[in-house]
Amino acid sequence: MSLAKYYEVAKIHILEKISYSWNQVFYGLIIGIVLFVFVHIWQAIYAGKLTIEGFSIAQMIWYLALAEVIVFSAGGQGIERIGEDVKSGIIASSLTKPINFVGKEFAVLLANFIYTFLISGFIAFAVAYFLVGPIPFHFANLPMLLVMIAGAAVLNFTLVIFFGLFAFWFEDVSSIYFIYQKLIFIMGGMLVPIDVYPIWVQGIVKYLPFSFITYMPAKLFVHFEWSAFLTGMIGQLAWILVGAMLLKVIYDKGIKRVNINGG
Amino acid sequence: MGVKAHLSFLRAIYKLEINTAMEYRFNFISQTIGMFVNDIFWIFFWFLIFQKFGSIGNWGYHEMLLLYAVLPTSFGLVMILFGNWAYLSKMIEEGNLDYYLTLPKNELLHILIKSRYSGMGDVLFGLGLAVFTLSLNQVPLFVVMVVSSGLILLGWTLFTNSFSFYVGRFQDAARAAREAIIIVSGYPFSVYSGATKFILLFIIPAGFVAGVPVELLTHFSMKWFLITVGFSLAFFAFSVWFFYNGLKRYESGNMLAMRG
Amino acid sequence: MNKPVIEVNHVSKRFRTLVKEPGFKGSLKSLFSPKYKEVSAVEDVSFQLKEGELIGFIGPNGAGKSTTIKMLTGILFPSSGKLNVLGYNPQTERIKLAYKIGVIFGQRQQLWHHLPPIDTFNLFSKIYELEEEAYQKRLNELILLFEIRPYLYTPVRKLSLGERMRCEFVASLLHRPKVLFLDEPTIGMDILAKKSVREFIRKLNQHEKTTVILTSHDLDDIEELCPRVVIINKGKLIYDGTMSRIKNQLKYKVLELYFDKKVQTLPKIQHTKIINQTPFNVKVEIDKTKVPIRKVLDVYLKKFKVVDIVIEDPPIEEIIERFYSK
Repeated sequence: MSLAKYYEVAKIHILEKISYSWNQVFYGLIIGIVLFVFVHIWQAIYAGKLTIEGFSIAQMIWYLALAEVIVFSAGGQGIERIGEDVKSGIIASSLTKPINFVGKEFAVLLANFIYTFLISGFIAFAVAYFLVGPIPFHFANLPMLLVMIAGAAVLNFTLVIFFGLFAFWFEDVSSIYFIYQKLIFIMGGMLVPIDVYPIWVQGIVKYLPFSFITYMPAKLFVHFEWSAFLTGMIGQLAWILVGAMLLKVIYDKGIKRVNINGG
Repeated sequence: MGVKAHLSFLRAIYKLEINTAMEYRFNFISQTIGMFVNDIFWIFFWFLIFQKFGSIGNWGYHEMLLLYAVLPTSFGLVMILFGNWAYLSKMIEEGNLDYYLTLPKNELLHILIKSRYSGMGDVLFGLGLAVFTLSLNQVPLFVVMVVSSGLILLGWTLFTNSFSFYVGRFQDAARAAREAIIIVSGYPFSVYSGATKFILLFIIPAGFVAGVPVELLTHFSMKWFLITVGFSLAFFAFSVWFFYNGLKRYESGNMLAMRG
Repeated sequence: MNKPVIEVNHVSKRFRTLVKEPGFKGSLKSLFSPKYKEVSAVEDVSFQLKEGELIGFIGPNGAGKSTTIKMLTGILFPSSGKLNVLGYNPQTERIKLAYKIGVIFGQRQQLWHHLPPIDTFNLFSKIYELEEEAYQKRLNELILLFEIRPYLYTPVRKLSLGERMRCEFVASLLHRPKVLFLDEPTIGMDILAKKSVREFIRKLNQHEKTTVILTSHDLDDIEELCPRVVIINKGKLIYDGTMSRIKNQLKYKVLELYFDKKVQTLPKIQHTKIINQTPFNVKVEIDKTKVPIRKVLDVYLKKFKVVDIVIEDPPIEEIIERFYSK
């Protein structure tokens, strides 16, 4: 159960990814296209206005760039892969050691995150720069931003593994992946910052885990505020704890089901 | 290659697809519901946006609803009728066309035909929305727009996936190209002008997938109607030609053999 | 009229592949300055088949057997040379030819996986445009011949490999093809299943005069069925003749034994040769025409504690080498 083992798993996954490095490049291009579309949409919406809900158009685009990169790197596709692992009974072989299975999936998701973030992030930020130029950013805030992004990643992994474990009960995990995706897109503030939604929607969405994955880090990036940072960290930690507990519950239930019904 | 024989063949093969889907009824239903709910999310999202901002370019919420009547319908139909469309590149590169090439039926048709019933949710949603947003005399135009939209989607995907014949490894690029056109066509088209608009119409024809059909439904223009139908037919014909030209260079399992 | 049913005339097939270095840098390099390597999968191959012949194609992996079959069926186009199957050019008249040939790929199933075989048969009757009454008659004939009635309505995914293969044969024969191409039809099967597949092929060839081209890695398949054998090695046709001439080379079997304790001195048995030895394992080549495998096995079993036994053909490359050096 040493850390070295997880490192090995992550390394193999990365090496495999490198041979599909074009995949990451294309993710980056897709994000670029989304940014391209959104620039035009926001230009039409702004129509001369300087800010909307406190965002300038440049801040809006950079917000979207980071939000998108986080979502793409966070590895929602992992839901399907975990679903496959569950179904093929890989779990069965780590029956008595939940940490092993979850740990392994975690390592893979983490490796995937770092790799994809770097490559698609580079492309996405290049596109954003090309479209709207730079935004003011104090590098002193970088450490906080990175911590927030890391927290977002961990929270997302917890969600992804949680959803993936539904494969214990559902044959088709892809619909579950779809639902997760929509939740992140809309309630996570990946399409527009949550500040744009009506107040009553904001009220609900603010307490759900999704906004802590995309909205919080992306907003922090374009508009740093200590209060936002603290709220974000607390929210992430709280939801990570809740997520981890739910994970254990679902995992145990799932394993019991395997035991009763066979592999 | 009789037309009658091919119709009989099509009837038989789609029947088998339905039978297969019925073997896994729960899956079929959950996928249909899933896509339907997915589309509801989107029109709810757009509702919030348009409520806040009023209009985007010269599009209002009404135009957005029309988009969500056309796009899911054409997309869903392609999924149900030609469900292998997005997998063509993978099939080419893994040498999986062999089976279809030993049987006496039109290759492209045979290869593409598969029913992915996640499309059913989209079709039901799109048609449902059409019932709410269209008047009866708009129905013929709607039907033509759905068909031309489908031809563009299919044509673009066929064109980009066929690069696998020419280049070797193109799966990821082809998938990205398909996602790109779907993304762009799902957003208001009123925001583009000039050279950008031209590119999005005649080079990467996202505009003809939903944008122009929507504008024709709100402000019909014979000129644009003819351009839309003409271009979608020509583009589709070109993509079919491109596929068959590539098929001559098909290397079957060679990719696998050489890699290993 | 003894016009050849298949004619292959100086056919070559060359593939151009991208030579790519591994890793991200390699990918980038291959994008900007691609280097190609031309590989000859099939080189100047010529042969003819008459109606009703049953011919075996053997050769090492990647030797060009499958490539040749794919050119004959219209899947691939030759780089040079001419092919003619049943009077058709497979490249320009693929569909016309397809009505008259049947193809079974051992590694790729034609039957629809989640449905009973009868559904695939009915679909094929539409694909081959068979007249309903004639189709039903033929279907019944084949159901009897291949004994598949008990599972005609069982989903294919629930059938065993042997049962599936029988159904594959039925599907490929509904339209009474004049030529049947079988690419590794017995792969993954146990000996009983293999024997019954061989029996079907034999019956087919005898009763319906179907011309059969068979490729197989199992040399027993070839030995039992094919009076004529073509050996393809490195894209070249190096032997085209009767089975009996190379039968001599097929008299060897390799017996592989695993021991639970280190073994030093191995017994010397006449008409056998030790071809590989490690402390826990030995490979013995046996001339089965001179000494039965059982006898050799007995000697080893008496002397050592054997924990596992594998009996296989010597690698095809060795057979080819032997054939040349004789």
